[in-house]
Amino acid sequence: MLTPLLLHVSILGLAAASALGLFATRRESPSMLGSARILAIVATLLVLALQLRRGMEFGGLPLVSRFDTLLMVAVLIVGAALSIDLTRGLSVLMIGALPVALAPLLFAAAIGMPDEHPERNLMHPAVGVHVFLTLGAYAVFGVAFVASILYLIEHRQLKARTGPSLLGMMPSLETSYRLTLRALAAGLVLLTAGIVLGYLYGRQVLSGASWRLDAKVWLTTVSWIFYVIVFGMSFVPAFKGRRTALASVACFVIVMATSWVASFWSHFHRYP
Amino acid sequence: MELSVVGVNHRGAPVEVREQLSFEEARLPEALAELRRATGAAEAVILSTCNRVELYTVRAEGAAGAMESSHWLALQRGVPDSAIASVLYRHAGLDVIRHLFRVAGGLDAMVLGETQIIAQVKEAYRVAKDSGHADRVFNVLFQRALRVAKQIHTTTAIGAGGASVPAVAARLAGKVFQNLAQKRVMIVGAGETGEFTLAAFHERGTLDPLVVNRTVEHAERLIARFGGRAVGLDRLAGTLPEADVVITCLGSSEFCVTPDMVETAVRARRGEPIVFIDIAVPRNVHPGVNRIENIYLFDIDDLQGIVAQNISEREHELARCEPLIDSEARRALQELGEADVHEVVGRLRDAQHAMADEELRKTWPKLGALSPDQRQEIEYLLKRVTNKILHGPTTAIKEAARDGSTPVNFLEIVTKLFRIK
Repeated sequence: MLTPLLLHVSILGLAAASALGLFATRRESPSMLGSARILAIVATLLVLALQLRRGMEFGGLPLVSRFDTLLMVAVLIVGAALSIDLTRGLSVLMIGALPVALAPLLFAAAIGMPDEHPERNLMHPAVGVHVFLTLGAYAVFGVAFVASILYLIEHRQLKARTGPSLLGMMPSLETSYRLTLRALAAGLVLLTAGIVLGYLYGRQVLSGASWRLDAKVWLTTVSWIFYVIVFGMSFVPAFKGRRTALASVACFVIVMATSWVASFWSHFHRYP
Repeated sequence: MELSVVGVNHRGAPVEVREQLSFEEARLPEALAELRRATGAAEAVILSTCNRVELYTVRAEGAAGAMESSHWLALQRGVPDSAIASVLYRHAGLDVIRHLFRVAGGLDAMVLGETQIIAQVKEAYRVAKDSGHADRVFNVLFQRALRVAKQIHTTTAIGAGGASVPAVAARLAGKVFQNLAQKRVMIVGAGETGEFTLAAFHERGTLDPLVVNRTVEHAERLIARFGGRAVGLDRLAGTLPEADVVITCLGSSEFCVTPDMVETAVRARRGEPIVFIDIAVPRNVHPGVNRIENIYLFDIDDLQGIVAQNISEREHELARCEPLIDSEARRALQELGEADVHEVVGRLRDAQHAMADEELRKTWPKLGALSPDQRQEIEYLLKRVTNKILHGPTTAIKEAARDGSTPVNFLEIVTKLFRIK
């Protein structure tokens, strides 16, 4: 009873924070922005409380179901955006990240909490770290996605010379671009570590080679290649700026969609 | 307490008049002393900027016979009263506080919402305070004015956006680059608007500029002011890759910056962006340049359009500032009034108790021998009676001062009525 309540309250909190944040940006009101920030922090803490509760229920890291991983992605996205906001003063990034974090929470609410308990081998700490690193990578790619969206909006306004709207709270193009590149680099490091750890654990624990052909393994590797290409593109003069931002957005959308679909095809990565 | 301000500003007085009436900063303490001496003011502050000259004074009520501040201003600056009579404004009482708060908040500025005036008001107050011409009243008013100005700028968008072409140009470049301080500006042509625009970037700490001109010698004036180096117009294409921001203001009927030239420059810069601010008419930069990746072009119409929109938005914000100023001005007046009331009530009580003590002192011999307890009881009785008699008037004075419905010289009437020193 308490778990669904916590989830729904945190969804409402994050939705209210998103709306308030967008309104604050429009009105350029620092006080509303502060309220949105507090609301987002409270909502995120509620999700964390929910995860803690679930972890305590089955005595391990709460990362062993699709429901749990969606919650964790939301927490990591808000956490990353909030820390950038608080350390670099990029409030718009935090506001942009809130709807992106809201989406996995809504998915989690839609699929509901699994009734069955996780398999024993999923409770291994190495699996927890592997999942955490991979989800961390997706969250950081989510930040890159938001920063790229900000870049594209700002770029469009500057090119169109549309007046004072472009003089609002948006960060400079250079700021958004640098953030995109840093987030891509951090995401690649996390994803690489996650993949390597998963591979090493799989080789040690699982028999046969069939798990290496798993849809999720393949699609994650393809995602990694995509991101390496995008990151590499950012150093090519002709692709600097808008094209890299577009590629980062496209990559995130594709990766999220395929990751979701692959989890249904996958035998090995099929969560309860 | 009589608060007053007389002054001239950019709205009514032409620059020649403002120049004549302005005060040198170094001479302000001396001028303040003269002003107080001539007008009998207890406190005085002179705010003298390029857009206004204002004399703020506070005098004890009924200080008759003293010279008017406006007459002193005319005499001091050597102009006939009649020459400034039509451009001079005067405010008294609450209106002085409202006016000061509007001035400090930039609501009365030539460029609505500008923040430079805050520092000027602060400096005028500092000079008056340091030279001993600002005391309790102006400490309250000017400190509150500075707080109100800060509040206005943080809670409203009165200072949002740029309100001049150079300011907007610098803000636009700031929307492309994270830190303008590490960027290099190139100016093509040495026109006046270009110089102002270059100054706006220079204030933000940009690197030494590149000054491109047909005649290199003519660029020396800008080099002398901003540093950097001069380049002939024939070398524009070769120098372009060095610039992050290019301001063009060259008198030319042909485009001097073409898409081909810019594409070559962007390749040389390995795709790093360039912002073009074209303030020349006819334009210097081919509009096709804006279609190149990582190039951002703004012409004079774009900049003026943004300035007009920003000013319009600032004017819209005025409606949010006025109620704030009004409530803060009333609060300041109340604060000053309460201080006066406390002082008058204190003196009234002291005077009445002193009178009672004096009468008691005269009465003791007539009462004959009394025990200490009896004497103490009589003293208490007299104190209680005096307090009861004073309770009504003091409560009425405090209430009357609090609701603000009293005449301006209410406390003076009370002072005379009870013969308080």
